[in-house]
Amino acid sequence: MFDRDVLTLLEQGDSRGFDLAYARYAERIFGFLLRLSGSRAVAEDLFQHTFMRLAEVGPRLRVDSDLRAWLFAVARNAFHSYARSACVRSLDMRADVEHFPASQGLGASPDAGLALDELERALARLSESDRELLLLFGVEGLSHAEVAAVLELEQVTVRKRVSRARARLAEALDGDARVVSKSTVSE
Amino acid sequence: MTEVDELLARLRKLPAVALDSEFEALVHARARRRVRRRQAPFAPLAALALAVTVVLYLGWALHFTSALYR
Repeated sequence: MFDRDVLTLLEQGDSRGFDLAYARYAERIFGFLLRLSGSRAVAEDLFQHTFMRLAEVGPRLRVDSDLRAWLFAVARNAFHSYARSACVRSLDMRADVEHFPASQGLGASPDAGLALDELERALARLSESDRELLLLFGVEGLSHAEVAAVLELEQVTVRKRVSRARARLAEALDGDARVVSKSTVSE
Repeated sequence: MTEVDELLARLRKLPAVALDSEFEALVHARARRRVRRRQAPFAPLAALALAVTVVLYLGWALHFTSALYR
Protein backbone atom coordinates (compact mmCIF):
# COMPACT_ATOMS: atom_id res chain seq x y z
CA MET A 1 0.00 0.00 0.00
CA PHE A 2 2.91 2.33 0.81
CA ASP A 3 4.45 1.86 -2.65
CA ARG A 4 1.10 2.46 -4.35
CA ASP A 5 0.59 5.73 -2.44
CA VAL A 6 4.11 6.87 -3.28
CA LEU A 7 3.73 6.03 -6.95
CA THR A 8 0.32 7.71 -7.16
CA LEU A 9 1.81 10.92 -5.73
CA LEU A 10 4.76 10.71 -8.12
CA GLU A 11 2.44 10.18 -11.07
CA GLN A 12 0.74 13.46 -10.16
CA GLY A 13 4.11 15.19 -10.01
CA ASP A 14 3.78 15.58 -6.24
CA SER A 15 7.27 15.61 -4.76
CA ARG A 16 5.90 14.38 -1.40
CA GLY A 17 5.90 10.97 -3.06
CA PHE A 18 9.61 11.31 -3.57
CA ASP A 19 10.09 12.45 0.05
CA LEU A 20 8.26 9.37 1.35
CA ALA A 21 10.26 6.99 -0.82
CA TYR A 22 13.51 8.68 0.15
CA ALA A 23 12.71 8.54 3.86
CA ARG A 24 11.92 4.85 3.72
CA TYR A 25 14.49 3.51 1.28
CA ALA A 26 17.53 5.84 1.27
CA GLU A 27 19.49 4.10 4.04
CA ARG A 28 18.58 0.63 2.79
CA ILE A 29 19.75 1.41 -0.75
CA PHE A 30 22.92 3.07 0.49
CA GLY A 31 23.74 0.14 2.78
CA PHE A 32 23.16 -2.29 -0.07
CA LEU A 33 25.45 -0.30 -2.40
CA LEU A 34 28.14 0.14 0.25
CA ARG A 35 28.22 -3.57 1.08
CA LEU A 36 28.13 -4.48 -2.59
CA SER A 37 30.86 -2.10 -3.76
CA GLY A 38 32.97 -1.94 -0.59
CA SER A 39 33.64 1.74 -1.27
CA ARG A 40 31.83 4.69 0.28
CA ALA A 41 32.67 7.01 -2.63
CA VAL A 42 31.33 4.54 -5.21
CA ALA A 43 28.25 3.85 -3.09
CA GLU A 44 27.51 7.59 -2.87
CA ASP A 45 27.76 8.04 -6.65
CA LEU A 46 25.50 5.07 -7.34
CA PHE A 47 23.07 6.11 -4.60
CA GLN A 48 22.70 9.52 -6.22
CA HIS A 49 22.14 7.91 -9.61
CA THR A 50 19.44 5.62 -8.17
CA PHE A 51 17.39 8.43 -6.65
CA MET A 52 17.81 10.66 -9.70
CA ARG A 53 16.31 7.79 -11.70
CA LEU A 54 13.44 7.60 -9.24
CA ALA A 55 12.72 11.31 -9.71
CA GLU A 56 12.86 11.02 -13.50
CA VAL A 57 11.25 7.64 -14.12
CA GLY A 58 9.09 7.28 -10.98
CA PRO A 59 6.16 9.32 -12.39
CA ARG A 60 5.99 6.92 -15.35
CA LEU A 61 5.99 3.70 -13.29
CA ARG A 62 2.75 1.78 -12.93
CA VAL A 63 1.16 2.46 -9.55
CA ASP A 64 1.07 -1.28 -8.79
CA SER A 65 4.84 -1.65 -9.29
CA ASP A 66 7.01 -3.00 -6.48
CA LEU A 67 8.95 0.19 -5.76
CA ARG A 68 11.40 -1.44 -3.33
CA ALA A 69 12.36 -4.12 -5.86
CA TRP A 70 12.58 -1.48 -8.59
CA LEU A 71 14.97 0.67 -6.53
CA PHE A 72 17.20 -2.28 -5.69
CA ALA A 73 17.22 -3.28 -9.36
CA VAL A 74 18.27 0.24 -10.43
CA ALA A 75 20.98 0.32 -7.74
CA ARG A 76 22.25 -3.14 -8.62
CA ASN A 77 22.31 -2.39 -12.38
CA ALA A 78 24.12 0.89 -11.72
CA PHE A 79 26.73 -1.01 -9.73
CA HIS A 80 27.26 -3.57 -12.50
CA SER A 81 27.58 -0.84 -15.14
CA TYR A 82 30.11 0.90 -12.94
CA ALA A 83 31.99 -2.33 -12.27
CA ARG A 84 32.20 -3.13 -15.97
CA SER A 85 33.49 0.32 -16.88
CA ALA A 86 35.94 0.68 -14.00
CA CYS A 87 36.98 -2.98 -13.70
CA VAL A 88 36.53 -2.75 -9.94
CA ARG A 89 35.96 -6.49 -9.66
CA SER A 90 39.57 -6.90 -8.68
CA LEU A 91 39.29 -4.49 -5.74
CA ASP A 92 39.97 -5.94 -2.33
CA MET A 93 36.58 -5.67 -0.65
CA ARG A 94 38.08 -6.08 2.81
CA ALA A 95 39.71 -2.67 2.53
CA ASP A 96 36.58 -0.68 3.32
CA VAL A 97 34.84 -2.89 5.87
CA GLU A 98 35.52 -0.25 8.51
CA HIS A 99 32.70 1.83 6.95
CA PHE A 100 30.09 -0.55 8.30
CA PRO A 101 28.26 0.26 11.53
CA ALA A 102 29.13 -3.07 13.18
CA SER A 103 32.79 -2.17 12.76
CA GLN A 104 32.18 1.22 14.31
CA GLY A 105 31.10 -0.27 17.61
CA LEU A 106 27.41 0.46 17.10
CA GLY A 107 26.35 -3.08 17.95
CA ALA A 108 24.26 -3.81 21.05
CA SER A 109 27.28 -5.09 23.01
CA PRO A 110 31.00 -5.54 22.27
CA ASP A 111 30.45 -9.27 21.62
CA ALA A 112 27.48 -8.61 19.36
CA GLY A 113 29.43 -5.92 17.55
CA LEU A 114 32.33 -8.33 17.05
CA ALA A 115 30.03 -11.03 15.70
CA LEU A 116 28.46 -8.60 13.24
CA ASP A 117 31.91 -7.39 12.27
CA GLU A 118 32.97 -10.98 11.48
CA LEU A 119 29.81 -11.38 9.44
CA GLU A 120 30.53 -8.19 7.47
CA ARG A 121 34.05 -9.42 6.73
CA ALA A 122 32.88 -12.85 5.66
CA LEU A 123 30.21 -11.28 3.46
CA ALA A 124 32.77 -8.96 1.89
CA ARG A 125 34.96 -11.93 0.92
CA LEU A 126 32.20 -13.72 -0.99
CA SER A 127 31.91 -13.46 -4.75
CA GLU A 128 29.91 -10.51 -6.03
CA SER A 129 26.97 -12.70 -7.09
CA ASP A 130 26.79 -14.50 -3.73
CA ARG A 131 27.08 -11.21 -1.90
CA GLU A 132 24.30 -9.49 -3.81
CA LEU A 133 21.98 -12.47 -3.26
CA LEU A 134 22.60 -12.52 0.48
CA LEU A 135 22.32 -8.75 0.73
CA LEU A 136 18.95 -8.73 -1.01
CA PHE A 137 17.48 -11.84 0.59
CA GLY A 138 19.26 -11.95 3.92
CA VAL A 139 20.06 -8.38 4.91
CA GLU A 140 17.26 -6.48 3.14
CA GLY A 141 14.63 -9.17 3.61
CA LEU A 142 13.32 -9.26 0.04
CA SER A 143 11.24 -12.32 -0.82
CA HIS A 144 12.44 -14.91 -3.34
CA ALA A 145 10.00 -13.40 -5.85
CA GLU A 146 11.37 -9.89 -5.30
CA VAL A 147 14.98 -11.06 -5.57
CA ALA A 148 14.04 -12.87 -8.78
CA ALA A 149 12.58 -9.63 -10.13
CA VAL A 150 15.67 -7.62 -9.17
CA LEU A 151 18.11 -10.14 -10.67
CA GLU A 152 15.86 -11.07 -13.61
CA LEU A 153 16.02 -14.77 -12.73
CA GLU A 154 13.51 -17.56 -12.13
CA GLN A 155 12.42 -17.98 -8.51
CA VAL A 156 13.63 -21.59 -8.51
CA THR A 157 17.07 -20.43 -9.57
CA VAL A 158 17.09 -17.78 -6.85
CA ARG A 159 16.22 -20.40 -4.17
CA LYS A 160 19.08 -22.63 -5.29
CA ARG A 161 21.57 -19.80 -5.50
CA VAL A 162 20.59 -18.39 -2.12
CA SER A 163 21.06 -21.80 -0.57
CA ARG A 164 24.53 -22.15 -2.11
CA ALA A 165 25.50 -18.61 -1.13
CA ARG A 166 24.42 -19.27 2.48
CA ALA A 167 26.58 -22.39 2.53
CA ARG A 168 29.59 -20.45 1.26
CA LEU A 169 29.01 -17.73 3.86
CA ALA A 170 28.90 -20.37 6.59
CA GLU A 171 32.19 -21.80 5.26
CA ALA A 172 33.76 -18.35 5.27
CA LEU A 173 32.70 -17.82 8.89
CA ASP A 174 34.03 -21.27 9.87
CA GLY A 175 37.33 -20.40 8.21
CA ASP A 176 37.53 -17.19 10.24
CA ALA A 177 36.78 -19.07 13.46
CA ARG A 178 39.56 -21.60 12.74
CA VAL A 179 42.07 -18.82 12.05
CA VAL A 180 41.13 -17.06 15.30
CA SER A 181 41.36 -20.26 17.38
CA LYS A 182 44.75 -21.15 15.83
CA SER A 183 46.16 -17.72 16.61
CA THR A 184 44.78 -17.93 20.18
CA VAL A 185 46.45 -21.35 20.71
CA SER A 186 49.80 -20.13 19.31
CA GLU A 187 49.72 -17.21 21.79
CA MET B 1 16.72 -23.52 14.69
CA THR B 2 19.08 -24.81 11.99
CA GLU B 3 22.48 -23.37 11.28
CA VAL B 4 21.20 -21.83 8.05
CA ASP B 5 18.31 -20.10 9.82
CA GLU B 6 20.66 -18.73 12.46
CA LEU B 7 22.86 -17.35 9.75
CA LEU B 8 19.91 -15.68 8.06
CA ALA B 9 18.82 -14.19 11.38
CA ARG B 10 22.32 -12.80 11.88
CA LEU B 11 22.28 -11.25 8.41
CA ARG B 12 18.95 -9.57 9.21
CA LYS B 13 20.57 -8.00 12.27
CA LEU B 14 23.18 -6.15 10.24
CA PRO B 15 22.37 -2.50 10.86
CA ALA B 16 21.50 0.09 8.24
CA VAL B 17 24.39 2.30 7.18
CA ALA B 18 23.95 5.98 7.92
CA LEU B 19 24.45 8.47 5.13
CA ASP B 20 26.43 11.62 5.63
CA SER B 21 23.65 14.10 6.50
CA GLU B 22 24.96 16.88 4.25
CA PHE B 23 25.27 14.51 1.29
CA GLU B 24 21.83 13.05 2.00
CA ALA B 25 20.19 16.50 2.06
CA LEU B 26 22.00 17.51 -1.15
CA VAL B 27 20.89 14.44 -3.11
CA HIS B 28 17.36 14.73 -1.74
CA ALA B 29 17.01 18.37 -2.80
CA ARG B 30 18.61 17.81 -6.21
CA ALA B 31 16.51 14.77 -7.09
CA ARG B 32 13.30 16.26 -5.67
CA ARG B 33 13.52 19.17 -8.11
CA ARG B 34 13.41 16.70 -11.00
CA VAL B 35 10.04 15.20 -10.13
CA ARG B 36 7.57 16.13 -12.87
CA ARG B 37 3.96 15.23 -13.48
CA ARG B 38 3.58 12.42 -15.99
CA GLN B 39 2.85 13.87 -19.44
CA ALA B 40 -0.47 12.89 -20.98
CA PRO B 41 0.37 10.28 -23.61
CA PHE B 42 0.35 11.81 -27.11
CA ALA B 43 -0.68 8.75 -29.16
CA PRO B 44 -4.36 8.43 -28.06
CA LEU B 45 -4.97 12.14 -28.67
CA ALA B 46 -3.40 11.94 -32.12
CA ALA B 47 -5.51 8.87 -32.99
CA LEU B 48 -8.69 10.66 -31.88
CA ALA B 49 -7.84 13.75 -33.94
CA LEU B 50 -7.21 11.55 -36.98
CA ALA B 51 -10.53 9.72 -36.56
CA VAL B 52 -12.47 13.00 -36.26
CA THR B 53 -10.76 14.33 -39.40
CA VAL B 54 -11.65 11.19 -41.37
CA VAL B 55 -15.30 11.30 -40.26
CA LEU B 56 -15.59 14.98 -41.15
CA TYR B 57 -14.02 14.36 -44.57
CA LEU B 58 -16.33 11.42 -45.32
CA GLY B 59 -19.35 13.48 -44.22
CA TRP B 60 -18.31 16.32 -46.47
CA ALA B 61 -17.70 13.87 -49.40
CA LEU B 62 -21.15 12.30 -48.95
CA HIS B 63 -22.80 15.70 -48.81
CA PHE B 64 -20.91 16.88 -51.91
CA THR B 65 -21.76 13.71 -53.90
CA SER B 66 -25.45 13.80 -53.00
CA ALA B 67 -25.55 17.49 -54.06
CA LEU B 68 -24.38 16.48 -57.59
CA TYR B 69 -27.49 14.35 -58.15
CA ARG B 70 -30.01 16.83 -56.84
